[in-house]
Amino acid sequence: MSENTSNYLSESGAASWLKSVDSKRIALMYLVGMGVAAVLALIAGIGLRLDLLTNDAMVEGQQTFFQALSFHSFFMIFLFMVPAIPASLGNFFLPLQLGASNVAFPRLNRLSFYFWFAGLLLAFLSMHAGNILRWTALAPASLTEGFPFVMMVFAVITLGVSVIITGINFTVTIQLHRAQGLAWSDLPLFAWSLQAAAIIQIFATPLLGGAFALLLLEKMMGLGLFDPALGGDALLYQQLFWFFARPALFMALLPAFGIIGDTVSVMSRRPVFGYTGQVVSFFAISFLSILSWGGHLTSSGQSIAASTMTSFLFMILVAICFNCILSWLATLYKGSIQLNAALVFSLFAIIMFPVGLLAAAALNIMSLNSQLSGSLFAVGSNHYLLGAVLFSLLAGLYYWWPKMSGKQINENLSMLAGLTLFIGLNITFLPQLIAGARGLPRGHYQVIEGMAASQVVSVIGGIIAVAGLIGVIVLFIMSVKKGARAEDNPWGASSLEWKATTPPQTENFSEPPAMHTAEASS
Amino acid sequence: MNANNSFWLAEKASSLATYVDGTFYGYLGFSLVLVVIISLLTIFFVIKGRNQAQTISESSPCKQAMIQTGWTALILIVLAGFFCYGLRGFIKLQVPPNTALVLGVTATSAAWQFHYLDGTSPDSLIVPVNLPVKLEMSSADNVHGISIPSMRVGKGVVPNRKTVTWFNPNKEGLFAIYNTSGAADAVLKVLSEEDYAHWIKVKFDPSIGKTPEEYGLYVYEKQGCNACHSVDGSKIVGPTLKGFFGTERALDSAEAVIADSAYVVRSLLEPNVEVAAGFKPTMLAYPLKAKEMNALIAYLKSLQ
Repeated sequence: MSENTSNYLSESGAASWLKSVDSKRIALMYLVGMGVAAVLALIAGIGLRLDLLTNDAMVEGQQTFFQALSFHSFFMIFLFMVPAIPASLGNFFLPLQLGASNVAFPRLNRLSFYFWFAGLLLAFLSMHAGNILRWTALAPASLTEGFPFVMMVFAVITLGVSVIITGINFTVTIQLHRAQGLAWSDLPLFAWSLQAAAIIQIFATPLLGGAFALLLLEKMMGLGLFDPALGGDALLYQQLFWFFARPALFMALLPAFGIIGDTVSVMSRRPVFGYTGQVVSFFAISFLSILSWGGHLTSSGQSIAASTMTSFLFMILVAICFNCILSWLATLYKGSIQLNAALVFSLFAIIMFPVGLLAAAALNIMSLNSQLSGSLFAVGSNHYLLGAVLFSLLAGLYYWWPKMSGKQINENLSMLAGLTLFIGLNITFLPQLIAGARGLPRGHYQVIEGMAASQVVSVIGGIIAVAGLIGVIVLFIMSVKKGARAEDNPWGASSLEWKATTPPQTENFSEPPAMHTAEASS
Repeated sequence: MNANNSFWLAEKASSLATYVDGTFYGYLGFSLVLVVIISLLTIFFVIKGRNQAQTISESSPCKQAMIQTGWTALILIVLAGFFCYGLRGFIKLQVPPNTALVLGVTATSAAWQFHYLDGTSPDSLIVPVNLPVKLEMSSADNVHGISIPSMRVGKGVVPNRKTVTWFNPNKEGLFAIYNTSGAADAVLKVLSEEDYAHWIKVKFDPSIGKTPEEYGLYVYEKQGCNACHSVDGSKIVGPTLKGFFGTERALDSAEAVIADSAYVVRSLLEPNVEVAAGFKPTMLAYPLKAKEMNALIAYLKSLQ
């Protein structure tokens, strides 16, 4: 393609971005916005670890500690992890992979980004006003909070709507906007994983909005649903909340699975191992994650029968996740490996996913649950899983970067930065698992005697991880500034997005793309 | 707290650890093996296949699906095995033995309170060694959670609900009690049987810090004397105790007796032998301890 061809980046000016309904531009806005939210949340997270370590004026007093904890958990989960991959890479590449010109409802897509942005502002207001509720906003404690709580409710509902819109948009796009001749079996795993995640987005997220709306009504009108003083049941809120929050983890995980599945296949120049099996696994994970929320409440006082059923469903879910992981290994087996940043980041995700999944399964072994669920072990488990999602997001970004930017990136330095990030995150999260198993409770302001060493190690790991992440960000910026021009299809991939011009034009394709896979198989 | 003798779990000080530790270490071993195998294979495949143009024939989708079903089933069987062990242990952890010492627990954001028969101990739960302890817990404000790692116990503490947990300490010492909601923590003190008996006696002895008259009033109210005997001169079921001590009392048997200390003691031990004139012999015997008797007498003396 000639340099002069106009592409989706050609038009400049802030208005051209804000008014754009091009899913690729929306994806980039999401990417930058979520990046900023994640970095702020990361700083808050390391700040509170440092505070535990030093107990000096860095984060002063219990109030500030819990504010930092709220900030870290709310921003990381609602503003980064939940929308992370679908809103950025999904928005950019789903229409391209389907051979479509845009998502099914482009203006709704823009609305979704505006809702996300409004949620960011509301969350800022809430945090600035001194929110000490964590992302769970457990009743009845949350009912006694004033302005910060109300802002948090609005932030959660706004962000929830944004997620639901994305889910609906992706579902309709996948179902109705596939290019002529693109069979279901030609879809990349990434597209399938977005469809499976969209099921959670559409069915579980409304429960979150509903639970928070009920919290607000309870506070304003005294409905007596959750407040024990009014005869309500505090556990009811937890049931509603975890019905969203358990699958929310897999909402983030599934698209990551899709990215890794596709990346290892392309980088080992082998077709995906067990394609059908992986696709079926995605949907099984999606449904089982919605059904297994009760595993979170085993030690809370719910019935033994409910705990047993939901915990066992989660065990099935974990076994199915391992099917995907082992299928990636089988794809790599005897492959012709192209060693580059996208593959290395995938490998780090492949190593971190099993740790997080097995730790999550440990919480569903019921005799261990009472020991572990209130401890840092549960924190470590989630951080391993979400760390792996971060690596998957970055792997996808490296994989598609030549197409997105039209530029090459320094692969060797990127791998080095990735290794730094990997070492840093493991040094941060592994002590959480160990200290948690030894009984260190989560969300504790006091330094607990005999546990200080794990805090020191965690902080050191956090700083190493930040250094790695800064390296990654700097390398992406350098690539934009002075990267060499990228080829149209540098990795030899066969999915449709690589048939677009580089970077893609606004309409994605000027004429319907030819079906490469269909030709190959015929 | 105590020196840890294990790297992975808290110090073991409860017989319930049998139901937890074995499962934990077995599962830990399985997890380590699986993670190491996956990590090493990943790295090995990548290094081996690097920049090699290999052509291998792909197995059929059907065969691949069978392989996938196989390893998924294998992992599920192992996980289900651990799940069953966990369930067995969990049920043991749910059912306290009948012999257990039952204590009440109230959680608030500010502090823990542990309720004994005779009173409340704030911030420290003190129990004897080798006796199962059943905790009946509730919260007075928010959702809390109790975690006693050394006892392998953890449970939600919820307002308007009673949750139950139990443990059987088999080691004396100080252990941490955490509030998993992030609120204030507490301490578990496991004492020898003698020390515990002594502690209970001293901690909840109502005579401590009271004059004999005050303690007498306490006995008078605690034993329920006030249900039948007034102290203001009015007649309820029995005669009033106002101005009673030291006076001559007419008896039902037409005799008379001086109401001295000996008479008070006799009336408490055998109330229906010397009944006051005009009253029915309906009083029950109150075999009080000597200390309580003396305090009661001191109190009666003060009611002139």
